[in-house]
Amino acid sequence: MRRLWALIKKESYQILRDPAAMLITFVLPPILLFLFAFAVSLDVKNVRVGVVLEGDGPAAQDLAAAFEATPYLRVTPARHREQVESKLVSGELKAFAVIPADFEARLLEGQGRAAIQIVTDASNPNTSTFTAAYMQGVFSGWLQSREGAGPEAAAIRLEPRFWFNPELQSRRTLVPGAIAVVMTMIGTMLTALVVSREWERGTMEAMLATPATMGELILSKLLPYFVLGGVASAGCAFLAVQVLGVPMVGSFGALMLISAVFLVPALGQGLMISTLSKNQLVAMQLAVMSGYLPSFLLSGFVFEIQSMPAFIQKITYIIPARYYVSSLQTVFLAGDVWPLFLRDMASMLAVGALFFGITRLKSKKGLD
Amino acid sequence: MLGRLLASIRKEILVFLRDPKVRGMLFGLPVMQVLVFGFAATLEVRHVDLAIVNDDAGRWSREMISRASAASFVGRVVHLDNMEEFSARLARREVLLGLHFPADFSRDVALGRPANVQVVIDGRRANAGQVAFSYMTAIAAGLGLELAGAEPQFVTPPQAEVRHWFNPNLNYRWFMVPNLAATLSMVIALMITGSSISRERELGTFDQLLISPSTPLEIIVSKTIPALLGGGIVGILVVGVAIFAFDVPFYGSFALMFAAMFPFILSVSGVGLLVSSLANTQQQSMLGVFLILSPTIMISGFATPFENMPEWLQYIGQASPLKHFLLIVQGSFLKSMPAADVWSNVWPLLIIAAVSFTTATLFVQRRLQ
Repeated sequence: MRRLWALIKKESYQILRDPAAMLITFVLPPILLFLFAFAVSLDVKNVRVGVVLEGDGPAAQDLAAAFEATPYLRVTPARHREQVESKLVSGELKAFAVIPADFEARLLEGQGRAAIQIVTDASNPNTSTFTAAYMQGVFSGWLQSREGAGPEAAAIRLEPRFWFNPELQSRRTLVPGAIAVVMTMIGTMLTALVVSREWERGTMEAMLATPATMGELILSKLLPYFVLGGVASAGCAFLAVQVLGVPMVGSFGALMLISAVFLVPALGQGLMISTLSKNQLVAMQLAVMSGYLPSFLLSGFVFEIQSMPAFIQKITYIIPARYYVSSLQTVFLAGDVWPLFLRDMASMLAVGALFFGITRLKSKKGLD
Repeated sequence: MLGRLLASIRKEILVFLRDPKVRGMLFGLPVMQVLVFGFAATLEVRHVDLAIVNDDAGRWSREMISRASAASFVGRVVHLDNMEEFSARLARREVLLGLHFPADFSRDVALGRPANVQVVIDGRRANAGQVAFSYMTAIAAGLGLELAGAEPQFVTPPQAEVRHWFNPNLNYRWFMVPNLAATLSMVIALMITGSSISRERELGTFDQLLISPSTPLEIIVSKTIPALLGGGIVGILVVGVAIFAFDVPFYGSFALMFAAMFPFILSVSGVGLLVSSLANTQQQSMLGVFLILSPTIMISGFATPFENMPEWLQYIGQASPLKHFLLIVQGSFLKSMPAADVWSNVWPLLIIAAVSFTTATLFVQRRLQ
């Protein structure tokens, strides 16, 4: 026990002196959190759109005014389609609506005939979907608010209710995801880099020659990172709630427990990478490819996992961040849903066992 | 002087091509990344799980449910008895959204009154939820229109016709895969230049460069050539994958796009050399590259629209070479962007290249003295 303690002390000093470790633990996390809070936004607002008013009827002008009064749209008025079409190509406008010269006649005719046309720049399909839906909303809202619009239309009305995130701020779902990215960097990338450096420099072999057992060595290497990860997750949660305005519906204890469990597969993956590569540059690339990138491309907080092709969905099952993101979003936005937490934690521990198992097999061979 | 420059360029290219790791990085990794991320990185919504709570026994809720179940964005459909059960399922993330039909739904439809359906969506998956909701709206509107056509007592309001230009079926890969061509080309160019000087320093060959007659500018130029080569090859390779493997249409001008790629890689290489001249070891330069790469990609509009960012961040984003080149690539693939519009994105690249190159040369010069 005293030997283990001495080893842990040695490793901790080494981390505190390492500029790479300090950079990854203290500089990158706040930068990434802020970027995910501000730069990566799926909230469509202040969209630049054109409104082409081809006629001069009072209803047409009223509708054009309704578009301009909408806070989420920034309207460029025009009289001819040609004026806005080229701006769609250059990217200055994301969409335009055409209110035709015979707009009044089309309105009276009713019966589902197209009264206006909405053209979007679908080179970014997601924005295009939202912009079109938004402009259609302006149009139907305007129709309903008109005086003497005739009998109420027979229609099936959908009443949307967004639970856990009623204002639909993408930041509230992205920042918890960013915490998973940060924790993957600390757990996997940092461990992979540092331990592979020990192999590269031969200090690992030197340590193996001491009376310390393999288990003690590995434990002493991982425990300081475990503590570092715990501190980082508490720091990230503080930033998210106090600075970035993410609510914390669940309990802090649950958050820390989930984070601790996540560190098991994350550290296991870092250790596995360093054992397999034993070379800093290769370890760095492997850690980026198998840890960092999947933690935000395949973990489901930006891109929906269920929408991916089946073979990629299968890959996501061994990405620990997938389970961590699911629980993190829940603890921040929905509360303590223990059945979900237990399921996710069991999955993370299973993936962790797999990584440690592979490491053990490989490191035995290395010593023979 | 030209002979000396050519000789050092030749040396850099040889060093670059002889390393098997570099060759793997050039050809293997990008193709793999495009295939995985091209398929995985989609904001389209398909096969999501839908829950139904139906308090209505009539015909119209059944009609609506069967249409929703048949839609391609819906995967599994779960029928639940009450809202308590539904909220537990939603909290456990077992479904993305649920439809709740009130008891008088079919009666209201039959009487020609507006009939309400509650759509409850998991806000933790805000984007997928919103997209799924807009698909659901289209289904409800389609059913409403058919009702109006079939039975004369119904009135349907005038509609807005929607056209999606450049990508009529809203295929997300047409957006993502060309973006990957630009991004991967940048990653390679940054990694090559980022480790070029620090590698020599770690190996001790930088001292040999110091005593050679080469000027800092010559060193910089010769170290840029492999990045131009590598970034260019990867860019062309991924554009090929986009066109042939992902069937993304290319309407613009190849010549214009590849001409714009030159100042793009140049501006990226300047940044990479700057990082490399500051780092003492390869590990430091790799971390430096990593530190620059993530923010540059995030503020460029690679995954989420540039215009969604707050204004102050958009000003900072102008300094990202990727931001300008992404517009050129997207425009060239889908919009057949005219030369004038390409040029309006090229001159910012030229400015960034001039600034990053001058700074890098100054730093290398300082390091040399």
